[in-house]
Amino acid sequence: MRHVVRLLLAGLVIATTSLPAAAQNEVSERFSKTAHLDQNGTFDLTNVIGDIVITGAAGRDVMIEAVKRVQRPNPRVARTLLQMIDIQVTEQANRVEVRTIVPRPRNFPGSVDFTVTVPEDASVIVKTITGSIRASNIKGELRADVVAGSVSAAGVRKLSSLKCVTGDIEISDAGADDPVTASTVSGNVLVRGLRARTVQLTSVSGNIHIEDAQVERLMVKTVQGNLDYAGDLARSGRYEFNSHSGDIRLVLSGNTGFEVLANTFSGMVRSDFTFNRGRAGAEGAGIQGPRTLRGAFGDASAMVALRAFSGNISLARR
Amino acid sequence: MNCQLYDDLLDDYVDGVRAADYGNDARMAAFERHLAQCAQCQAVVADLTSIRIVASTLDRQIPPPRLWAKIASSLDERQRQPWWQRQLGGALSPWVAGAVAASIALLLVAGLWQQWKQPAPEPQQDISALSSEPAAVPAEQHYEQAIAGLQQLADAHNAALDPATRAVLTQNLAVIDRAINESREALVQEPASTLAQESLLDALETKVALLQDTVALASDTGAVADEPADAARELNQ
Repeated sequence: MRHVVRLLLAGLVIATTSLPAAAQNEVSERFSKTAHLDQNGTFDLTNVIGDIVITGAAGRDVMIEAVKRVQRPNPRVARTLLQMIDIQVTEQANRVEVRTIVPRPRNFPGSVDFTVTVPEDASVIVKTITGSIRASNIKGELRADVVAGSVSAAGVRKLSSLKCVTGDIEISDAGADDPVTASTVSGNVLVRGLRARTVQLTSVSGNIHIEDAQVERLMVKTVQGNLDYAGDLARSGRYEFNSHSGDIRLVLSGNTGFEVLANTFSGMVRSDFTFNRGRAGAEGAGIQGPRTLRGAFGDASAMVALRAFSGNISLARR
Repeated sequence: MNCQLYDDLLDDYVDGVRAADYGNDARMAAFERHLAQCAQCQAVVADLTSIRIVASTLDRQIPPPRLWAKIASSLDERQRQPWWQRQLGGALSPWVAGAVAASIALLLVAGLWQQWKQPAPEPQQDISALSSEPAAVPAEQHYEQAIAGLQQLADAHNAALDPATRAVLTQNLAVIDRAINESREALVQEPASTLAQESLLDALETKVALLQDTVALASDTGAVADEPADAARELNQ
């Protein structure tokens, strides 16, 4: 009997807590506008809450599709609030600017999701407070900035900067001639296929994973996360990996010779490679202890510096 | 030899300035005559020249793209803001917070530059000066000053951030503080450890960057967060 009473009480608690305080009514409204950009124009979007998808395509039109949404218990209030969301589009000097204007942006109970198609040579600047940003097939420069949400960039040819506070960053099949920065505070950074001269990737507590990058200068830094790099090194490339308490793992093909300097204060260093003392031709073995590794492999054309405080460092052969 | 008389001309000389180029400037001419006979000054000039050559081969340091993006968008935003945001913008002073944060960063850079420029102090001969305290890491105090100023700003503007973002930033500042403490403890054990020193400076630098971002975020959001009563407030109930 006591079991039955307990079960009934538990059921009541679950039923009560799972009920919403008041049923929400969602009202939505579509927004659509087409603008024009000449070659190498700029598309600049600032949103407040909502997801953004931007795709580069053939043609010179900028097609902006948006859905405004508000959820409130009272449908009349929801409709009134919906009318307060203003999407402003301005075209000026080969630049299209889109701004979402809402009253009380910090706690406005509404959102705007954007789906935008831009000419593929356009530069894109996109910014939002909450929501995800997905950009693909953009040949112009891309800068994306989100506070609470993730950023992904695929098929972007002039990646410039990706930044978020609480979300992940994903880069795939991208490139850049100018320096690239990607930084997040608590999220992870995942790179699969990146061709660039200078790249800087940072996170405070997230992991950073890099695969198949062709980068001349790579700086990767985290405080608490792990750092993983898998692929080839560029000849004459410079690579710096730095983590305080996370582990650093490099899985290298060994096709490119490199000079390595690895140090950890209280972790361990391990390597599959056999190192010489210095540059090509130098005799004698490299210096390898439990916490230090210094030496040259092959022609030592690339430079790899690995530093951890309490994390482990490993160099494996693919 | 009165080498120190010409200390202020060294930089110009290394940069290629010659007396003949400036109407036979008397002091530079005197320095050139002195240099021809002084091995010590020749060594200094050679040293500075090699530094200059090496420095010119270093990668160009470009400010993070987000810095210019932020400046540019702030300029544009100001023009685009509706009247009520513009009115509030002045009262809430996000620019002031940003300017103070930028000033702190500049002071930090200036401090580090001074540290680098100043000659190394003479080694202490007094054995009583030696203690069990870890050797002070050069530049640490500049970071500490910057952090104190930024922390004050961040605390003052934090309320403008949404609670979830604020919690993430607080947690990550704690992660960095742990790294700072671990590095300091390591320096107590091994005062000469370069690795511990580098880890400490890295962690301090990361903290400065995160606090700068916190202030910038809070200022951005704060510009519109304290909007006075409007129709939406009533409808939000």
